[in-house]
Amino acid sequence: MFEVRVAELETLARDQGLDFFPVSFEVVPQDIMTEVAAYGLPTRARHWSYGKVYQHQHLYGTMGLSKIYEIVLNSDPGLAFLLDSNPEIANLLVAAHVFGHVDFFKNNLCFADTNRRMINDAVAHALRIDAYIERYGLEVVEHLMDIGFALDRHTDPHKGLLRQPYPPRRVVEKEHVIRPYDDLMDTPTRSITYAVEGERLPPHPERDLLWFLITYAPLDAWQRDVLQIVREESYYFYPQFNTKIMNEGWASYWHAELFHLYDGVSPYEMIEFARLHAGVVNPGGRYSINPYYLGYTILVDIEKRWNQMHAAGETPLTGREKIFEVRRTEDDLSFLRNYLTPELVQRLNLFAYGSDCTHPPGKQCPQCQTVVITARERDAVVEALLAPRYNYGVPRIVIQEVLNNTLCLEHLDRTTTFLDRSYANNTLMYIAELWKHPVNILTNDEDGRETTLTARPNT
Amino acid sequence: MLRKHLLMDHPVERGAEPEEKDIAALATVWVTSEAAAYPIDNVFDSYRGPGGSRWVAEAPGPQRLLLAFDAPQTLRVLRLEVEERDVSRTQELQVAISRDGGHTYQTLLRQEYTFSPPGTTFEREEWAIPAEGVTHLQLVITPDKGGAPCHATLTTFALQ
Repeated sequence: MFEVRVAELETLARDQGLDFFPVSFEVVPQDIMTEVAAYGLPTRARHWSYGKVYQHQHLYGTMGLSKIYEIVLNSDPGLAFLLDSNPEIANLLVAAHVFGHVDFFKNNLCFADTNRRMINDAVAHALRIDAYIERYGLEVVEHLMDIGFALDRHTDPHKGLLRQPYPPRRVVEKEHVIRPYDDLMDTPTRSITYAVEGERLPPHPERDLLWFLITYAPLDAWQRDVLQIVREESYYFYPQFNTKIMNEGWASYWHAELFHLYDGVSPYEMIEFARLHAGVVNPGGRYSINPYYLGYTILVDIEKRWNQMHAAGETPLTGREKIFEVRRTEDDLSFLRNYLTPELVQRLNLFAYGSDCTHPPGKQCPQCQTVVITARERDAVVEALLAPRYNYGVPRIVIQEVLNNTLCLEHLDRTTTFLDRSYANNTLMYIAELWKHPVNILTNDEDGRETTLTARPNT
Repeated sequence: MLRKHLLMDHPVERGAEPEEKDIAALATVWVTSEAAAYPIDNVFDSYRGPGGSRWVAEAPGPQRLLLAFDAPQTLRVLRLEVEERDVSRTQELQVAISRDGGHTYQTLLRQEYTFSPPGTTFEREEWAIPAEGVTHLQLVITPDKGGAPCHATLTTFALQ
């Protein structure tokens, strides 16, 4: 019966225009669900941190503070896990929700270059890591993975996962060719200049710290492989981080829409569905907002506004066509900036809050402890919502140069964000350990003055 | 013979030296304090590296080392070494120069370094500080930014 109803929902979803990979559902017990949620993938290289996440989630689940209803993976075919203790109506909601997610994975441009075979590749990664553990020992390998995980969010999604080393040093002949009006500008009509390329390492500020170290640090082949595994898996998860609000909003929109259209549930089940749906898209706590709710509300608003504009002849797109376009082309940053309107901000009672101190971000004063509403204006609210979503949620740090073997980094956001010294020093030590020479980072101190943090590899 | 004076409060100070510059011949060294067993002379001698002879401040807290050059100098590189085998602490160093006889100072760099024995116990820096007409060079050492009563120390201070 359940399989039949899932198939009916799938047909309904495709009829509504959703375009998703075939989805395989696995119904599993709570401990498997928690395990997959902790690892992020069904099989993945072992690391102590996954156990920590597992314990955290297990404890929260046992205390009734959280429940994982569903896990869906970006793969082709799609793979989703349903909880065996869920009532059937809950798993039907989840199945409809999953169709929305898989459609999003398949069609949103952020996911265009993701590895759709990561489930299998992660198994291969796990086997290689196991082999390294057997050869070099658990502590050594896990320590190297610690270093990888400390750096794996410092990516450059524009350059992508697969990159070649920088071009080697070469002298380039550049010919200035004759252009119209050169004579008027006193420009020589033809000249040849020589430029040296590849002399500076890196040739431009480098955002992908792990790639740089994998490529240029004096590491053994197995160490490069371990770090590359960490890097590959980080790139796999990046689009999910970058589209959390949209993706959950889209999936919530579609489970609601499909159940609105589906006539295969009883009135009792429909009431239960409504209760579950209200839970999924609840507004959130007093000082936080539920991404499912925010994404869902914005999509509903877009559809309504575009339907009105379409009816008035102001746009060729219907509301439904518009949200499909949004689903394809936006990420969370552009989604909120383009479609979270002042009216919605007001209607949802959104505000930015925090300390209203104006001193540099690392400084602490008694007033810092006082939390106040800092803004209700739309732009400030949008930026407050987006602040934790920039740059994979980590400070923007680039490698600027290598000077006498010293690796020089720069914290680009140093006037607005403060590097926690404990994290920063430990991470610098990790980098120095790989680089085997000193590592500097230019940042700001508590008083907003430029300062350099330095770490040297232990001898 | 190094010319030196003890500073009674927290005024200015610096120093110079080897293949590098001979600081003893070029400058007067001022320092805020020195422990009797670890005079400032030690930072300009040739006993460098881990275990090398060193200067230790007599009092805990921030200290200043000032080099007052007899004649304006052209500087290119500053080398310094710090060793801390006992205490975990985050040290801050500030290097500043004056070109007008010590009336005004320009901060060239500020650096934080965390010692965490037994792992990280030694710091060696070689900083490019290209500057001409330098009359004074000042190093301010905050031994622990966390405010613990640590003693500032230096193993080496050299200029090129």
